[in-house]
Amino acid sequence: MKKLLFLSLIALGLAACEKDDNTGPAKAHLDVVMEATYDGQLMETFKKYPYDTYNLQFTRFHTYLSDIELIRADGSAERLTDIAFVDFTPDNAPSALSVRQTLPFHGVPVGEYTGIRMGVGVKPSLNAKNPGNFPANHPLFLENEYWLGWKSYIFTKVEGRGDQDMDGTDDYFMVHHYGSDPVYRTVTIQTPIRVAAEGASALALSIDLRQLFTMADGTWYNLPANPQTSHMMTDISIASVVVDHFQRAFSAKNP
Amino acid sequence: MRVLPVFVLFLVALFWLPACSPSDKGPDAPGDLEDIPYDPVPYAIVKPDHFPQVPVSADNPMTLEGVQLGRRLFYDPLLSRDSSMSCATCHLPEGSFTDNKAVSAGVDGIEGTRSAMSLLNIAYATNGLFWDGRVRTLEQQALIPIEDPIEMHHQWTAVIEALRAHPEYPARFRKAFGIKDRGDISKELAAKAIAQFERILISSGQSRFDRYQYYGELDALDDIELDGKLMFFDEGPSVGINLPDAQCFHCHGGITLTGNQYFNNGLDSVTSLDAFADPGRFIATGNPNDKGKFRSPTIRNIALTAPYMHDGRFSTLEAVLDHYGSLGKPAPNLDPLILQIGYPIPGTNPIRYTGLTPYQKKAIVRFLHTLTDTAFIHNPDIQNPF
Repeated sequence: MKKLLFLSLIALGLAACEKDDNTGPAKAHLDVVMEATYDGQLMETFKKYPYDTYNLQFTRFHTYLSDIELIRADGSAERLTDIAFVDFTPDNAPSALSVRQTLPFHGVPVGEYTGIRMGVGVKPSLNAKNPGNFPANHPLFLENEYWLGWKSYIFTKVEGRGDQDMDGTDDYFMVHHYGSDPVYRTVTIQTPIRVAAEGASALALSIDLRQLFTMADGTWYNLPANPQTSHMMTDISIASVVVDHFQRAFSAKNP
Repeated sequence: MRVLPVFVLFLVALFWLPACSPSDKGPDAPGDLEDIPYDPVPYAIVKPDHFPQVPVSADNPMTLEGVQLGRRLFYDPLLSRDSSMSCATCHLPEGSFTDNKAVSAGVDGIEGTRSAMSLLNIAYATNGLFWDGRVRTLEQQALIPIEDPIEMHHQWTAVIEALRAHPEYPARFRKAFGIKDRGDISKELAAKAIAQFERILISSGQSRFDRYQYYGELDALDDIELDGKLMFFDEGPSVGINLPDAQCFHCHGGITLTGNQYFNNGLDSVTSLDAFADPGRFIATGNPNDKGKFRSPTIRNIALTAPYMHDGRFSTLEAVLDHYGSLGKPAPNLDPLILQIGYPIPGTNPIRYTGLTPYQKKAIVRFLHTLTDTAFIHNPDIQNPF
């Protein structure tokens, strides 16, 4: 009799667990695969790209992304992560090709989404902290991405060099580092996203550097005249112009 | 009927008594260390409050016994072929764990091609070790110098044999890692112990810079040192002081003052990437664009670690600042920041930069001296235990 009671309790417990599992939405895996491009092609470091009337090479490109969220048709959002660091030109890159980076997200509710939204940079609540506040495996632990002078993370770094007179010798060196709360921007990419119950789903996004340095009227941003972002906190004129182009630079690709 | 209890007693004695008297076992017998208590004490790494959490390997948890064993191994010349060199031969506390030589010579007197790197805050180096970053963990790194023919030029098999036969080490390995017999001593465990010791080589947080920056002691730096700090961190313009950007913090930033990234800092004038005498980071990645790039070391205690650069080419900090202040030498993969040191020169298109004046270089050198952390180098927990 006692044995029967014991087995019944176990059966009840198992049934309760099963019921709990079925009440929540089904969840699955989503990979957000990000790449850096120039004019639609995977960006390659030290490759001479046509830029205005001269050549431009990129040597470094990475960025922080905050509050990555999937958007539903009703406008509600599903938060994937608070912060990510995406390095297209990591120190361990085996070749000049920029590296596609995969952000893996587990436990994403299965369903249809209409787009993805994210902040480019470190959102103000996290930017108020510093690398000392984070464990070693955290994206905000990266000391080289923190600027003590501004008490801010450097949100995005784009570096390169240009051969303005096309004589084969580089004439200027670009060091564009964008940081501080005023240059934080939010981008939204409208694209159908399906997180399937079975298997892993994927979403491919690209950031196009040509678009990033193209003005709204289609002209080229004057990099030779503005090779370096200012270190005056009161002067974010260069950074604020370029970061406004992030919305246009982001796009979804068919996986 | 009385035979059975006697037989049982005999069996118990047969199996139980030997277990109770392991000291009777020979040194090579299985389980010869089992009578030594294995009760490791977790080791809490001491760090300044403003420092990040110290990264620790999940498969090598810090213990007091592990750190103590690692410390002895670090300072023990037993690890070299002729017992003339230890890790500390090239990494001395007084040099902030460098040997203050341009390049180090191994047991055979053969000089290497690179300078010994400081081990200060090496626990934070999570983006590769050595100047080229060819290994990722301290545990991997510790294996290499023992067999390097231009360093300790020994063989791990011989080292392990010596450790197993040693009067003290087997017990210390037992206490640190719970091994059952000396035959379990391995190079991997030795490397783990050395790595544990290296992870406690953390700044004290008591340098004058720390006191100024993190503890609000505004008189900890004088005016010249403060000028140097503002230029080092490119802070001059942001606080309304007309000082140029020296761009230093881009490679030596954050709290530990190193980003552990790889740069070509303009040491050699080359027209082809293949012309670098030392391929640097390329050794680790195979990426041709990484030729001539090296890991940026910590700047903390930099005044104690002369000479400078991967090959020790600069004897003084003044020479280092002369190099950067003159905007380095051209190379196809020269880091762009090198050319943006100083003020922008008006009317230049593309914009050129002035480099640094003698005063500006002097002020930065003075600032670098404020990073000296004598409390660290005198920390009794990291000195030679022999």
